[in-house]
Amino acid sequence: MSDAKSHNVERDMLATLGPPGFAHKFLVIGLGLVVAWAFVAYIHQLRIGLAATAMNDYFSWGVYIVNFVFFIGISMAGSLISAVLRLSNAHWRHPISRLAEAITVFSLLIAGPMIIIDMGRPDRLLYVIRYGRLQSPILWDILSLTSYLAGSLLYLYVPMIPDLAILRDASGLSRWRKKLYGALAMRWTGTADQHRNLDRAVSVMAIVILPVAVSIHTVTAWLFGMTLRPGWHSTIIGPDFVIGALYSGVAAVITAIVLFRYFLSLEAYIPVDHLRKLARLMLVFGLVYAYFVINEHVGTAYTGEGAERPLLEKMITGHYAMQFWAMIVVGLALPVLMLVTPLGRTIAGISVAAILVNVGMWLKRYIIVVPTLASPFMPARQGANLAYVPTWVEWSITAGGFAAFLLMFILFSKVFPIISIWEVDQTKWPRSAEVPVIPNAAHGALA
Amino acid sequence: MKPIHFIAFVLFIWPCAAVAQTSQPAISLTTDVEDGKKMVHAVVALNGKPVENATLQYFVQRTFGNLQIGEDTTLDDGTSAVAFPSDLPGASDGNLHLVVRIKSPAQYSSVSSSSAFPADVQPAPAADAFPRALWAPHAPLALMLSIFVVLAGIWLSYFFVVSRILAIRVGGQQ
Repeated sequence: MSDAKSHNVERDMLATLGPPGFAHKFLVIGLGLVVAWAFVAYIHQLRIGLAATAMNDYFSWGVYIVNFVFFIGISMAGSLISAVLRLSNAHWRHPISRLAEAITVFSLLIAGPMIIIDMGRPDRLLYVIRYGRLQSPILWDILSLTSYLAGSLLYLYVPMIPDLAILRDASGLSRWRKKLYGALAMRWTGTADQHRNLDRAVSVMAIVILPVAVSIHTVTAWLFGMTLRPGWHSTIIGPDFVIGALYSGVAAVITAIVLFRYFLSLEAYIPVDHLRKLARLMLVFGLVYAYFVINEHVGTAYTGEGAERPLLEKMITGHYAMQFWAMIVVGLALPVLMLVTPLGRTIAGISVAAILVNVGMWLKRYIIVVPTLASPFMPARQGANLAYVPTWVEWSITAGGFAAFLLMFILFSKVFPIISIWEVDQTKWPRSAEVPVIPNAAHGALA
Repeated sequence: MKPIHFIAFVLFIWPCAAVAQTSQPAISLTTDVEDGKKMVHAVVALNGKPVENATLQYFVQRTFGNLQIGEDTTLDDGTSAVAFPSDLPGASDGNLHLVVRIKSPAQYSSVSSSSAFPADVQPAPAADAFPRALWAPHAPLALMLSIFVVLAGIWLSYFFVVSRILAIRVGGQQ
């Protein structure tokens, strides 16, 4: 890589940290207002309790848990794209790995509070720890979620240390930024010893984060699967959730890349070929997920087992048919068809397919949570309302969750470089030739 | 009757008389063996006098309600009897909890009595090799070990990574 180009990487990334433009301010204020409105809705819910929602004694879970599963799902992307591609020495990941790692952290920061919002008494959150029963999947979820969040934060931070040193040494940045970057840069000067320690740390994290990511998705699936309810108690629900997470996670990464590529003018660093590779990955996961969806429903339809059959009927032809078929068409059929045609090789086609997958996979989580709760084993009491329609409070908080996710991303991109400067530009912190380097770790060239 | 006598009667004498003359009969339950057959006997008495021609229903308490095992009418000595259910397994304490209720006359139909007697069939201890962990008072050891080993592996790896970060900082000082 030439010096001129490497200089451009640093310069271009520093430019993204500059004073915000009108569009940036507009977005931040708009998203901030949505988050503020969600906060008002939550205060209302705190005041009058879960009666503010459409949840009741039949629908103990609602869109909050749908959002929880959705955001947990897209958090898988960071681990997969960054860790797997890092371990497989795929150099093309360099410009996109930080975006993917950030998606993991921010989606977990939204998913966790969704559980608390779902609790009627959030003041009793600590009881889960104080009186936690180790045999309960709820506690497993708390443990794996906190472990995954801690690991994801480390995995986002460690490969960023050399970039933070670049920013620390850069001129023209404000005082508070210099202090922040200086504190986080860990006195990085690019010595052979520092490179060796960084490589070790990144390699260990790349290996550890994968099973942790699989565990959080599996344990989230077990929250459903360990319950004797139709549609949930299934032996394939663990891998089903993992594949669904990979599918929606890659779609989320593609969406984020397209947006940042456009708004921050990163075309030189993220060529279309990168998006095509990610689109192929999304296609593979889409086909595997379709296989799981078929497995999930064909057996039930064939056997017509007592408790499962009414649930299937509700989804195929009944009250939840619209959501179910929308999920099949929007989340699976259309994106897969688009990606196997020439349309799936264009940025527009890939972007539309990724957005459709995001929408479809949110609907899939709705289909997982709600219809099962509408199918209780015990006969419902007379006059019981078995139709769940979320209230304005639930929609407001859901919108606030998505807005907060985007807001965190936008603010992050204003404080930290969204592309890894030192991995794209290896001349910035060159390694000594004699220093042994762990292969595959934190090393590569601009694709 | 003077007012003071009336008040004294209402306050002291009438309640004492009411206590002495209960309006509900008492039922006592016993078991014995007659002609080689184990029987349950119930004696119904009202103020110490046997109640004749009262129809009694006999039940055994089960998990989800009472199982009727017989019905009999009291004789002139207030006794009735049904066969002891020797084929029913006892509860977790090894006893059969028998309940006797008066079916008629109607004014005594709310009266019942219960007693526990050792069952002839003792419940076999549950031979469930894999009891549901969620309902157990403590997590199974295998589960606890698995969780602790996995968590220890993850967090020790994190501590190693943090130690490398600190090493980077120390390397920058030199």
